[in-house]
Amino acid sequence: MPLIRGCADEHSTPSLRNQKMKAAELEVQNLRVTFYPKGRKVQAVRGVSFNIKPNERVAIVGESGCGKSQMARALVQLIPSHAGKIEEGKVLYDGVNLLSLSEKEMRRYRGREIGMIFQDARASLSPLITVGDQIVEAYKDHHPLSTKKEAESRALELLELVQIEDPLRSFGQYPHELSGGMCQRVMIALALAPDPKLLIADEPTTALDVTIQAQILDLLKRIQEQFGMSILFITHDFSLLSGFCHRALVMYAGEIVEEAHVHELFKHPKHPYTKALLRSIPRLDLPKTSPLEVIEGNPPDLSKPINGCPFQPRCRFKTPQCGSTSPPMINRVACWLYDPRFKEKYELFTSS
Amino acid sequence: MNTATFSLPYFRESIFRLKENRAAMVGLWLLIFLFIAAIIAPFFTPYNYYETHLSLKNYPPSKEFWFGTDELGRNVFSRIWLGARISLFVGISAAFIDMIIGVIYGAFAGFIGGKIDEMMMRFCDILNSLPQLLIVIILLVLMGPGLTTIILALTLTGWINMARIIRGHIHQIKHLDFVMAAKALGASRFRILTHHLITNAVGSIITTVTLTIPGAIFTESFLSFLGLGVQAPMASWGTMASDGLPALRFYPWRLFFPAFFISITMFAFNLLGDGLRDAFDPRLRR
Repeated sequence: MPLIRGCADEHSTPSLRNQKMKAAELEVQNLRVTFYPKGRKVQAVRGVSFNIKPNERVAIVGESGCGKSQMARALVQLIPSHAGKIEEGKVLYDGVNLLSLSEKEMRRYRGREIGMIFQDARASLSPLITVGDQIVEAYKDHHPLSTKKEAESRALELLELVQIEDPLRSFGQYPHELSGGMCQRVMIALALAPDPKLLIADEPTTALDVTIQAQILDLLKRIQEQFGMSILFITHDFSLLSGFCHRALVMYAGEIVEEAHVHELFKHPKHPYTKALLRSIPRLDLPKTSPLEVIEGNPPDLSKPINGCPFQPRCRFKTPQCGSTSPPMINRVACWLYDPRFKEKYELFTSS
Repeated sequence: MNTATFSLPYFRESIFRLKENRAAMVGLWLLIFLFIAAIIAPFFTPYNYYETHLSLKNYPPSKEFWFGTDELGRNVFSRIWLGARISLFVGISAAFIDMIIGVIYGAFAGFIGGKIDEMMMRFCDILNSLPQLLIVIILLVLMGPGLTTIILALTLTGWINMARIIRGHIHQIKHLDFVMAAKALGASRFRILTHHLITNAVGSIITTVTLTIPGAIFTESFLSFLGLGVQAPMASWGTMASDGLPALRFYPWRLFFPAFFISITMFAFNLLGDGLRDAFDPRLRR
C-alpha cells in the first residue's frame, strides 16, 4: 500500500494541476433530431443553435421531455440509429463538423475531446468490472503508450481528485458496492481519464439527494476550473443554476426559447415560459396557505407539427402572431412580445 | 499492505466466491474424482475391458470383479471407467465446440441486430426444426458410427441453444446505460462487444456450458442405447445401460452401475453449474 500511495503522491498529482489544456469551442447550428417510434415521427430537437466558449459552464434547463438529453447525445452522435436520426444541423467543434464524421472518426472525439456523464451513474458503470479497472481501461484506451502501472496510479489520482473516500479500497470495488454519490464521483473520474476538453453532464445530480448534489456540483466546478475545460450542464432544476453556471439556455419543446447569463435570467426573465417556471418554484417566504403556482396545460405533443410558438397554448400573454409564425430569436429570446407591434402585451408582461 | 483488495481481478474473485459455495465444491470434487478415476482406475484391476470370461458371466460384485461382470464375463469395473472416459470426452468436447460456435454466432447476431440478426436467427430455427435423430442417422450413413460422428451430430444443432441464449442476453444488455457510457468514452464496437457485452454474459455462458455437458452425455448415452453410438468392444455408459436393461430382474448390478455413474455425473455438473453462475454474478453476492 505505501508503494502505490507513494507513487500517486510523488509525481502525478502535481502533473494534474499543470495540465491546463487548451480548451475547445463548440458551436451548434440548427440541430434537428427526429425519432421514429412505431412509424410515428417525433421531433425531439427542433432547430437548436448555441455555442460554448472555452472555460465556460453553460446550462441547458428545461422540463423533462423537452429534448435536452437527446440534444446532448446528438452532439456526439449517440442517438441509436434504429431509433432516431439527426435530420440536419452542424456541430462545430473547433471548426470541425462532428456530424459529418464517420463512426470511426467520431470515436476519436468521444471521450478524448468530449466527455460525458449521465444521470444514473450506477447503471452507467459496467457492473462486472471493478471501478479501478474501468478507469484504467478508459485511460489506456486513450493513452496507448502508457504502462499498466501508470494507468493504475493515474486512476488512483483521479479517484482521489473526485474525493472518493479511501480511493485505494474503492479501486477494487464493484459499482454495486458503492453509494449513488460515490458512483457519480467514479463516473466523473472515468470521464476525466481521457482528459476531455468539454464535459457534457446530463443531469448528473438528479438521482442524488440534496446534500450530495451540492458536493457533486462543487466538485464539477472545481475540476472545470482546475482542468480548464468547458462544461455543458443539463438539468431540469433551476435552483442548481445560480451557483454553478455562467450562462443558461432555456429549452422548451425541442427549441431554445431564451438564453441569458444566470443572474440576468433570475432577475429579468424575458420569456413568459422562463418567468412562469421561476414563479413555480415553491417559496418559503409566502404563507403556507397560498397556492403553488403552476403552468396550466401540458407541453405540446412533439409527434404533431407545431405552428408558431410552442408555448403559445399555455401563454398568458399570447399575441395574434404567436399561433401562426414561430418567433425569431431577437435579443437572445424567442418571443413575439419583443416585437414593437405588441407593445401593450409586453407592458402587461413586465408589470405582472 | 492489502494489495489483494487493490486489484483483485474479476476471475480470481469469482473463484474465491465459488470456493465458499459448499454444494458447488461437492460437485467440483465429484467431477475431479471422476476425471482422475477415469484415467487411473483401470490400472487397479488385472482385467481389461474387452477380456471375456465366459465361465464367469453375470457374476455379482465381488472381491475379484468389484462391479461384477456382464453377459460375456467382462469386468464391469474396467468398462465403467472406459465408459467414463468416452462419456466425459464426448460431453466436454461437444459442449466446448457448442460454446465457441454459439457465443460467436449469438454475440454477433445480438450485437448487429436488425435484419442480419433476424436472418441469422431464422437460419437457427430452420436448423433446429430438423429432427436430431434424422441428422444423426444421415451422418452415420455418411461417416459410419464412431466418436467423431457422435460429436459432430451433437454439435451440428447443439450450438443453437447457446447462440440463442447469448443473443438474447446481448440484446438485453446492449441498450443499457453502461454500454452507452462506454461508447461515450470512445470505446470501439469490438471493445464494447468483448469487454462489456460478452463479459456480462459470462455467467450465462458458464451455466449453459455446464448444463450442455450433461445434456450431451445424456444424448450420447441415448444414441448408444439405440445402438447408434460407440461400437463394441468399446463401451459408453449408454451402451452398458442398454445391455443391462434386459437383465434387470436377475442381474440388477449390470444396470445399476452405469445408471449410478450417469446420475452422479449429471448431479455434479448441475451443482457446479449453479455454483459457477452465482460466483460469476457479483450482484448475487451477499
